[in-house]
Amino acid sequence: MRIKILLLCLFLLLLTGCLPSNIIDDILMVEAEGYDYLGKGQIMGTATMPNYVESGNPGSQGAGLPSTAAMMRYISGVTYDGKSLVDKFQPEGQRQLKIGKIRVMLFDDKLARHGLSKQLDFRNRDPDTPRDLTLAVVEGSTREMLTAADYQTQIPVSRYIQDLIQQNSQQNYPDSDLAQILYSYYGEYMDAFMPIIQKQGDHLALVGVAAFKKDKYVMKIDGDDVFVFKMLFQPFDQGVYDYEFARGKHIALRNVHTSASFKVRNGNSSSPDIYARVKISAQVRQAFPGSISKKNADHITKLLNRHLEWEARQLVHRFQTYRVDPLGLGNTVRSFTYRFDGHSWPDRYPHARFHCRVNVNIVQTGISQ
Amino acid sequence: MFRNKKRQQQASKNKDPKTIGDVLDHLGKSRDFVHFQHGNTHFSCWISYFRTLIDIDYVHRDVFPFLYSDSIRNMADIKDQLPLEKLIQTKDIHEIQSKLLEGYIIIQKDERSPECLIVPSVKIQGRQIEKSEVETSIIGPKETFVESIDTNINLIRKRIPVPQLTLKEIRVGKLSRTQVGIIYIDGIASEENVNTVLQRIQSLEVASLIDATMLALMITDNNWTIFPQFTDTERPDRVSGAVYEGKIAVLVDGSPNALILPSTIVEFFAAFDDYFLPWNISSAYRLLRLFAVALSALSSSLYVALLTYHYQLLPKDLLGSLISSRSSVPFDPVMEVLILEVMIELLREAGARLPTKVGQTIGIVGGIVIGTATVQAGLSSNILLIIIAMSALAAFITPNYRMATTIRFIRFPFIISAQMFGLLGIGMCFTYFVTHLIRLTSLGRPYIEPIFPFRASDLKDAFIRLPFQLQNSRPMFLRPGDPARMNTTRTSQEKGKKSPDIDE
Amino acid sequence: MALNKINETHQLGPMSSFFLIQVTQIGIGFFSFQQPLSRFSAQDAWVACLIGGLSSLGVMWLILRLLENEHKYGRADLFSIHTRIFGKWIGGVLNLATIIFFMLYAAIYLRSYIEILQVWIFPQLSILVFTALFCLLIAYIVLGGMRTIGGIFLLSFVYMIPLYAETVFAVPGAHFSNLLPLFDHGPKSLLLSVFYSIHIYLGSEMILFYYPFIKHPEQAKKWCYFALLDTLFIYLMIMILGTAYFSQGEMKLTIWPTVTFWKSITFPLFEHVDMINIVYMIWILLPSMALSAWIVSRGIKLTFPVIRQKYALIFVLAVFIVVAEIVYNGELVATANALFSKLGFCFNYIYIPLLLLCQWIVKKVKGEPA
Repeated sequence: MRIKILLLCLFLLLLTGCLPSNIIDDILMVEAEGYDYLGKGQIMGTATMPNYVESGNPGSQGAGLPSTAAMMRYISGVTYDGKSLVDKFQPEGQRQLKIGKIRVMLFDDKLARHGLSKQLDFRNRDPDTPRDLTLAVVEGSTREMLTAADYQTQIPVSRYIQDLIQQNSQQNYPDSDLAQILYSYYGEYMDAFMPIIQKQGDHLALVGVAAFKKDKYVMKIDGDDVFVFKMLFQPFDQGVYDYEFARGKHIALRNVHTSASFKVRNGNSSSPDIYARVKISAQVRQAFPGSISKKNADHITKLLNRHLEWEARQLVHRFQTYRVDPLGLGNTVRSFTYRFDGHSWPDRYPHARFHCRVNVNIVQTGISQ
Repeated sequence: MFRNKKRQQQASKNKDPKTIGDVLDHLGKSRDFVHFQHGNTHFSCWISYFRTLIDIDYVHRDVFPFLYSDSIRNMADIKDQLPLEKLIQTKDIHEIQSKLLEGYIIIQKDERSPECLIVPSVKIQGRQIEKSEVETSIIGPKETFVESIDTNINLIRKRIPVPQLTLKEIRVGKLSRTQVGIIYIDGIASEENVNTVLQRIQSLEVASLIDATMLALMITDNNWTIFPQFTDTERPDRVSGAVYEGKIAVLVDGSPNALILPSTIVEFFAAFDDYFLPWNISSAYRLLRLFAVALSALSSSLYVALLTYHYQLLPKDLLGSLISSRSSVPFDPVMEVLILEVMIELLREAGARLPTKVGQTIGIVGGIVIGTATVQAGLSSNILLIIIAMSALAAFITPNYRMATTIRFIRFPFIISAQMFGLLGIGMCFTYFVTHLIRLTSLGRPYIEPIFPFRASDLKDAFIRLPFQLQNSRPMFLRPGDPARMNTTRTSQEKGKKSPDIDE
Repeated sequence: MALNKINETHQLGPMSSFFLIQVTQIGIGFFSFQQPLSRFSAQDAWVACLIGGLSSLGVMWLILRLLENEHKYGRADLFSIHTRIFGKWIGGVLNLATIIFFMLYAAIYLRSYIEILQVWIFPQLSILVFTALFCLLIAYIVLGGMRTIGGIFLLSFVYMIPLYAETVFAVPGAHFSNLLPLFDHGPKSLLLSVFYSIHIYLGSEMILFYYPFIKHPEQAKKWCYFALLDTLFIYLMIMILGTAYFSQGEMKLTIWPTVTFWKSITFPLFEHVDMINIVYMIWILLPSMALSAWIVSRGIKLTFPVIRQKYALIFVLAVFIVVAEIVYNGELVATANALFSKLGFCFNYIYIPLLLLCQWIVKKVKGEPA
């Protein structure tokens, strides 16, 4: 008898305990969001979601084409800066809009210069957001980028953008997923950066890295300088660096491994000394005919070392003039300095002296002399 | 309730025969009961038997010629001269009756004289020893038990030629008086276990006992559980292996299965083939089986949980194919899963009940035609079909059939709880089953033994099987009388030898 | 008294004290402890973590002394120590206070887990339904007795190993230079952090109640210390990884750093490992809850011998459900957790030494035999 009552109670409990479901084919998963700044706190938001084709007779396609070809669906609308686009667009969706599988968030450069604090705060607060979300600044209109139908590839644009950025961040471009951006955005003595992409005709291209000061985009690192930036920023092993050692004469290296180590002296003085030591192991990818051989490799390496050192100093100097710190030099100084004086750091940063030694080691020159 | 009790009492009153005459009158109602007077000049007697139970050829060839010979003058002469080893002379009516029913011949001086001579002449009718069909193996012995307990004991005894091998016999069943044999090696098997088994079987109050698996259900520790607590096997090699380990085997007359007691859960996932393959390979297969069990129990409920609640967990690249294959299905994932699961269960049940030849056809019709048609009709998605078929396959990787059915059954609570609470539901359901397993005992010994209570020495032959030379002790789980399998000092001496250097 | 002697079939092996202590120590604090620790001592929080863990060894020494001294007077658990030292009435009141403390502690613990479930997975999860189902599970475990609870602890320990191992996948995202400069904080800020680190090591004091259920307690001693060191190691690893993974600014904003860094781990077959892990952590909650329910119901039985433990258990579980319902939002959960971590600190670091002192005084006053 007691068991019967218990079972009855259990049954009643279970009836009341049902949870709202998100059955995957009954929701619309937002895969990309784009924000264009219109001025006066207004933005034009665009969201894309794949609309998986419902084929008439799924079984018959078992042997034929897979029915995964997705049609994209777009919604755009004007709202205030910082509004969650999912909530904004829900009245236009026949199913629930969900953010859990978002791949890409794009900001046009106007919004990036205006400031992204609201978007970043929102993404940090939302438990559904994946940490490998890709963020990027777009030169041009994000709406146009997300809604254009003239791309060469058939894959959804959100995947296209994410693949593009993830692929390149294994090579010349530095890692910049949401985890990395939040790390440096909220972290002290360092600033965030995002890749910049541009729609060039019927395809997309990465054109550089946007360095942020707090939440505002202030400085662009050009595509040519990205290698130098990444070399100082993180160890990596797939980049390609093209060096013009004389007019019209190029030599290109693919690095096998690169690592940078830092040392800091006088961290609390008004002009701290930062010493960077970069080691590059590389193989020759292409070379001007006759420019490199076992004999004169030393000569070229010396030139290359000096060139890269100069480039690195130039880059850091530019950061200092813009007072941005995407390399996290401030954090490096902090980690080398006891009782680090953080308050005065923003004033001292432009006066910090950056010394760089690069040591290129050419390990192979290919299969021909 | 009262009436029932009264009826029982009446019934038992009617049954009890008082005299030998009652017995013979009662049995005489059966047409196959033979009761006649034999008489020649010197001697006459009454002979009675069931002609369907005795070995007629044998009786005519070896018993009656002696009885009819001139040298027999009285009952005592029969006892002396009949060339049989086990003649019983008794007045016990119950014994007489039961012996008659087992296929013995009764010889009396007069029709009503209580003094009877019981002559064995049991006809053994059964099948030959055949190749194993339930627990098949590719290498290793192929003999299986048959329905006759004597043959079965023979199969075990010839594998364990030691004097310590003890056979105890108990009769179970008020009506059936089924012969139950308990086999163990004295000195190795724990006395406590033996006593528990004896006590449990002796205290059984049942009318009849048909099969060993029935006995297993009757003497189980917990009546509510869906997990089998004693291994049942049709392989004499497996039984003897277990008896050598210190376990107890129980045979039931008329049953081609032996029970091995006590058992732990890991034994149900160990095939006997594992001992015929190199240890590393058989360990890999054991782990594969473990994975198969997990897959079988959880895959369909994970499908429900992920597709209903946790779309975030699905890999991005899989989403497309999942959604498009589901897009024409009108039901929730849980309905979809239940439809397919029930369909597979129907197929399995039909396959088990139908004659072998038809069964195969049904399997093909069901598996291919219905499966494809279900997807085409939009009742379920392609991917689910794969998952369900995989998990059905995985369930039957389990070597023990009773465990396999348990594994198949266990998924339904998981599916329902996944529908209620998603992953959390699966977690809670899993917790429930784990707690249940912890609380279970087999013959008073913990059921999930090498895991809890944790015994590292018993883990040598659980999830993985280590080489035989490392398995130098019997499982602690059994509390064996003699824990060492081999002379440990000698094995350690051998180990102490210096390993030679290269080219030495 | 029949209660004094625990039947051997209900006892646990000496090694199980390892699992019991290790698993009770790792609790809900595991999700969030990095944040309060690094509030005061930033990158040196791991030092505080280390000191806190080492101090728990000292407390364990005191507890074992207390229990061993008590062993010769009969059953060695806190309830009988209370009644023996302070007499029936004061001892009874102290027992009651202990019971209430542990009951509320467990209820708040359960509620904190629900809080995490609601935030991360099911915002609409009904507290009543979940606690009721969970309490049924606990009842099923506790009805199996101390042996079943021991089994749950062992399995919990085994199940948690992959969870700890999995954090290795977060290492590529870690910036170990965050740990530099070492030892940059003064004793004051460090001690504040140590104070906050104490609550993650709480739970080991429960041995005060199940000590009589451990076979060969003298052998169990070393396992107790191993368990503490193991917990220390796990917390230290997670603390160091957390510090390396988050920048200090980010850490300040993150309520559950452990869960957030699980978020960045992805496997080819599933993403969002954080959700799986949160559900998985039910196995951290379950053993501690079951043990608390067992302790409290047993305490009720020992204090009021009229009540059978079975019925006390029903009462305890009802209290769990009611308390979980009363604490209706995250704010209250945080307040209650802060309160109970202070109370736990007082219990371990003030009350237990005092009790040991009292035990010593009583022994002196009554005089030793011979």
